Amino acid sequence: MRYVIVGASAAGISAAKKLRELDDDSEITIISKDDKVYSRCMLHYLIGGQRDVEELNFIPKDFFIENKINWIKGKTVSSVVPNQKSLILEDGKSIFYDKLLLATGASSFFPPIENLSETEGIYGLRNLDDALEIKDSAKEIEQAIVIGAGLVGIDAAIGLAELGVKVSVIEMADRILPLQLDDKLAAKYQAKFEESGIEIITNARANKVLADNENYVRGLELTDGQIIDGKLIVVATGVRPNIGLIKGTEIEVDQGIIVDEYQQSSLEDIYAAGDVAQSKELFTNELALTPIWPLAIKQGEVAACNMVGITTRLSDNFAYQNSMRFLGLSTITYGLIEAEDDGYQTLIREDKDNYQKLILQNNKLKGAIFQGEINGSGVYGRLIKDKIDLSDKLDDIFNLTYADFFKENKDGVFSY
Amino acid sequence: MERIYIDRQLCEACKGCMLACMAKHNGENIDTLDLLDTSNQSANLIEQSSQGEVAPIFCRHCDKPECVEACMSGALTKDKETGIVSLDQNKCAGCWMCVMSCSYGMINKDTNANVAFKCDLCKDREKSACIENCPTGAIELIEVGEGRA
Repeated sequence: MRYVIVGASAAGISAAKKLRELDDDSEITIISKDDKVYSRCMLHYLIGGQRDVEELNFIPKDFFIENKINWIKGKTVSSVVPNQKSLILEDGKSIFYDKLLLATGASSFFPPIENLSETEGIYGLRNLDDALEIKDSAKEIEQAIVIGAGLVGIDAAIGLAELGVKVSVIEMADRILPLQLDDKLAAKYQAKFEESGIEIITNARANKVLADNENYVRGLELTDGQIIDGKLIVVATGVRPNIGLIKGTEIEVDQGIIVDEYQQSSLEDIYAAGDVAQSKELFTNELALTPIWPLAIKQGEVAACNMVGITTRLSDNFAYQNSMRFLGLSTITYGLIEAEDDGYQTLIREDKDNYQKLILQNNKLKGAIFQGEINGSGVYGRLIKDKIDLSDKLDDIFNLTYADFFKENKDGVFSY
Repeated sequence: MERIYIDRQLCEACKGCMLACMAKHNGENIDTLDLLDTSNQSANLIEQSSQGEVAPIFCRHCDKPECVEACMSGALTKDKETGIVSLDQNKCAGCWMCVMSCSYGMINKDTNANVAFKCDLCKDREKSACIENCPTGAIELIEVGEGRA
């Protein structure tokens, strides 16, 4: 059997590891445009100087040798030819597979802002090269701009601020981290960012990139006419799945490659996992991109099981969870951030340093937020994931621990 | 592999296991442990339910550990032979995805640093400190077969 995986990030690596665990003999090949394995979640540490490239690696040094994986690195796959069961690489070379996993991830999305694509000094923050280039050009400048105050934008801003660069963050919504945080949580972070010299401009849209005589960025004009100075722009306005290689095939695609609960695409023997895959998400029960690390790992493993013929379903494809730590302040969120209508009950407990919010519907937890103290929050995540009835626990709802659900089998395994 | 089996009925919530765990991580013994130092941390916990029943809750070193799957830095690994889920604090980036992912609340923030903290099953000792200090036998190490979760 020839297993081929495209992509060497969370999903691809996790699948390869699982494949080898389940099948000692077959040929496993990973093809990736990256020539290093690194965690994208830590790129801002590279910018800020807290970690070097080696320290972004999330697998053991001898991973490929130990697992007998053939790694074709630094190569882009141009196309997939399903009826020949082959891939064509950028250099024209063909690679044949019996089972294929597409774990190609996603790329930074650059919105249609005037001069954005023509001007020098504009970066996404997705790949190692992005981080290296940002770090390099940041040495020369005093001011930078980040477009988009999502997790990546904030990471970029903090990384740049670590280098002593003055950063302005432009956000379209009325608050930072609008997908992850409510007003109150966002305000707390915003105050911290401003204290540390990061300027946050919400309700703002970029209109035009301003360039100097050498076509190098010098600032950004907003739609209200305001001009923000900066000699480097990081664009963090979301990502798009890397699906170019399956163009022209019959593989079903919406935003990403549509997969079933076995991570199989609409074509037999072709699987997808991680940021490129679109799957039935547990919390919303809708087909969605699920771009969080833990799911990339799980989906990779599930794909691997099915690729070797062990039928395995992904039962907990729960993407509505986030964790973050910015400037020493930690937050974990699950499910809804705000009640959607009157059918929900919102409970809040807070003090100077901590904020907890629980959103209930029919005595079941639909949303949970922990800012400050985060220990033990995983119990609440599970209550949402498993839709556990809490009718008899409402009085003590903020103090639930696993002691409230304790169940142990004779092997010492816990369950709910 | 081995796992700490919990007999909840036998636990009297003396918290000897927690003190032993704190002492072990501080390089102290129970008698010299500074009980006023709130940065002392036990990996495993005696928790109380809303009905007032106590339960000793100890890391399962799960067969399919959610914390390891969630770890984006490579700091959390599961040893194939021993089954122990280990945390390398030097690699940990403090992103808290493991905290977010553990359904039992058994991996938490280290009280002294922005890294995670969890049970290592006292792999450097002959016997786990918690078990050694449980006077009622509410916790004991049992041998569990591979992949029997």
